[in-house]
Amino acid sequence: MRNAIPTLNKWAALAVLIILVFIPLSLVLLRSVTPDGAFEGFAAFSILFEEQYRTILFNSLLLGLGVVVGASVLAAPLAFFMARTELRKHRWIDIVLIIPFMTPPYIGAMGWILSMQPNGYAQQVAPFLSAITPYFFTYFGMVLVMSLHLFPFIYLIMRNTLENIGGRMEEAGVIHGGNFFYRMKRIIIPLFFSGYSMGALLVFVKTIGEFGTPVTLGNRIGFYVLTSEIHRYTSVWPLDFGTAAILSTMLLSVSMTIWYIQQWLVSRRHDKVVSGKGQTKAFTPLGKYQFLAWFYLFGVLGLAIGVPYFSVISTAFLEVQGDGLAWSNLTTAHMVQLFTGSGLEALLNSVWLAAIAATISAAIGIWVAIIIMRKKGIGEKTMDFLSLAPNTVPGIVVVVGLILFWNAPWNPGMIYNTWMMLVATYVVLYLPFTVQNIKAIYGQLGDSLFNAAKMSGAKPVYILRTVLIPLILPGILAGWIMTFTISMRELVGSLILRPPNMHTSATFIYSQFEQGTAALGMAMALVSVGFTTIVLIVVERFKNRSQAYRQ
Amino acid sequence: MKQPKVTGLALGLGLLTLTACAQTEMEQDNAGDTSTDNQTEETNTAGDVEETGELTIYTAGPGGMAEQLVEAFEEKTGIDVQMYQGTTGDVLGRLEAEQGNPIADVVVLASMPPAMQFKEDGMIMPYESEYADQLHDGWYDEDHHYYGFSAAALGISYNTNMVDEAPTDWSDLTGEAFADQLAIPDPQQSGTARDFVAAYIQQEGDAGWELFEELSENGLSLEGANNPALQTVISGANSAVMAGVDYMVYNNIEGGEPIDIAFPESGTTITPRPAFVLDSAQNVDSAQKYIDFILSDRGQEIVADNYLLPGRTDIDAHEDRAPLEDIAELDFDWDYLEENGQDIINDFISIVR
Repeated sequence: MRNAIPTLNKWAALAVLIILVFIPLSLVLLRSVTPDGAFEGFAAFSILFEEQYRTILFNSLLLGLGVVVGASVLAAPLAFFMARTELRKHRWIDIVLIIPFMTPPYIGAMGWILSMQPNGYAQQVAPFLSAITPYFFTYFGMVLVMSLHLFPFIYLIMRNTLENIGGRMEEAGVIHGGNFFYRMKRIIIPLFFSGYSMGALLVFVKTIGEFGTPVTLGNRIGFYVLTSEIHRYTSVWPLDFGTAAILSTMLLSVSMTIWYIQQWLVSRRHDKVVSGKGQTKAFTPLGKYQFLAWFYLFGVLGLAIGVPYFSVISTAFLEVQGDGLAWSNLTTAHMVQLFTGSGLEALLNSVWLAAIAATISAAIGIWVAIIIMRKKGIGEKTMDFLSLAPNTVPGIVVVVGLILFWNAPWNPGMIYNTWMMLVATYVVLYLPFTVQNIKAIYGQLGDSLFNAAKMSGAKPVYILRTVLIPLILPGILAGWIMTFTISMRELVGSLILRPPNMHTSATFIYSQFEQGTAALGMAMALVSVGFTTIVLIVVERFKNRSQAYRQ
Repeated sequence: MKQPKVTGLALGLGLLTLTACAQTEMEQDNAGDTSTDNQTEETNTAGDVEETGELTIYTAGPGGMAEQLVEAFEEKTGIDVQMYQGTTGDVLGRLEAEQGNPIADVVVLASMPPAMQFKEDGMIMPYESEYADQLHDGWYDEDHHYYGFSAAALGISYNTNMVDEAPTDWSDLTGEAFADQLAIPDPQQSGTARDFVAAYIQQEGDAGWELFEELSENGLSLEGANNPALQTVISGANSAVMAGVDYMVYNNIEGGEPIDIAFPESGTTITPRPAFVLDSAQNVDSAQKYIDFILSDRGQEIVADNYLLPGRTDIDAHEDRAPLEDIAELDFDWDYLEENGQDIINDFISIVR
């Protein structure tokens, strides 16, 4: 009897995930084996053995690996500086570092292309750069652009983990005579691993599931990956949903394998670092070498924000694109046009849609993450994977699944072709972010606080409210921010699922690039990212206050 | 736990196919009725809409034009229009995914072959518009399934700051002046470029392949869809794009960009943009009114204002653009393109990459 409520709770959460994630994805897979409504066996999967598709799979893996390395290398020093040195006072850096992640990937890639192409902005500003710009149009350029886009993600997870490791263990290391490198090797890196591996996993999966950069830059240089091929089969005549579904299965299995390996690695050691005992923050003053940290920071910011945004701003404010950079060629006409035309409405649509989606997905995220972390049964494992699955396949696959499910004549939900469909899409697509963010923080909580609460006679709900939620609040807020941020710029789902007569900021930008003026699109990108930054600052303030107990 | 769910799904899918079939048959009956209806009472005035009262249109761009057409249509007939506007690929993707429960009434695409396939699959409800006879030959289906109410011609778009002498034919692009600064919209992403490559091969045969090889040696690159490819010319990354659509160029010239377009002497493709009523349409009457409207004088004027070639022979193109008579067309037929397109594109890609 005592177990009835938790069990019910668990099955309810599982049911929600099955409806939101499992059924839509299964419908896509079903479609791949029943292209004309009849089961045709698994013969269709034989294309996986064809040379062409093996190359594509290999390209995807190569790209994912490159970006994990690239993003980690970019993020690690920053995480260290921000968690452990004088730089941590400057919280604004955190917000600035998220800007690359808020930038729509295709805008980032486009910005880089506009800079690096022949006669591009780079050559206009510094002609000597023409010797190196061609190297951008290779595999390394893609890794660079995607790493610069995704590193904030791994940075946030790294920094949170480093902060939580706290000073005690390190101090113990110092007392026992461990030098800096020894402490790194024996204390920080092992403790760091569980959080980092989750970040690396998400970046890998995000990379192989991302389609903006592969489609803008990859197709241009002939570097085809799974997502760009899936995109091609779902949006270029002759359409072939069957092949797209098979390639999606391929992506899904890669992600599943990686997820399993990560789980296995982490489960071998689970290190509790938040025990409820007094925390001291570790501090490694850099002293006069501080300038090196600043130098590095600005170097990264220059690449991640400076280069693409220089292009974005230039394009948005140039009157005649063909005349290049010149003071006389500047105009604010595109900005005015944006706010007087249909652009403003599109932007506002994005804002409220993203806010609703982020709130719903944070709520589901708390619910699911708590259940997953409590026990490790088969039900929890299933939920864990389901809550990650949408992130492992390209948006377009999820979107097709959502249409197949929500628009099916037997589906009683009336949300298809309304704005609620967009909210549902964002929730499904970005649930992994909230769940994983909360899990990353939860994973570090020890049992002692909960045991103490139980000893003092607290009821489960009371523990949840006064112990657990406050402790994981930073994770919840981080998840909310992330969901809001990427919902604001979500393209694939919005493009296909938006109800008639409705635009969002991303679809507005896209349609400007496809059929309108690039300048207007860039102006929208600029305003949209600016607005997201403001929201971010507000939530970050709130988050800092919620963490005040740590000081 | 899993078993019942799977059966449930299978059941659901079974139902789905059943209802879909039933629907199709019903609609076909309907189709017969309404088209005769419409012939008897030509002057179907505004207001008497039964159906769901709203017309759902899925349309490819250009954005401005699609909106203007819908606005003018709403004003004239009082029918509420729900418009989903995207690229041809977006529209097709959405239609494909919605096959189980179609929502759209009217579809407008920027490329012919999909419309022909839709006709073959019996997904179009034929409708004989009063304006059918006034359209250019070959721009509409003789069985009245689809109407090319507007068209775009492909040409060589070039940057006037970088190119002194306007190219006159495709072969000019093998010259030194265009070396490594030459692009074509990626035929895997642009339906119009795809049609061009196949049509050129149909007319020229081996000579066509030779030209493509020479162009490839001269540094021909693939640059995404039409507008992104044109942007590279505007920004000066390329000096010319071959087989790009013309109306975008005229739009940019209007905006003061230093570009122009030339139509090659040996011929190019002109792609009619087909509009049709889906077989599954729920608002057949309004849908047919919309087809009539875009073919009417007012609709065709809007087409011309957006620098596209109007579908009707008696409506002039925009005065600032090349008229249809001045554009030489390749000798090709759509059936050949549909049949051999994919093979030709594959070969083309392997040459250019």
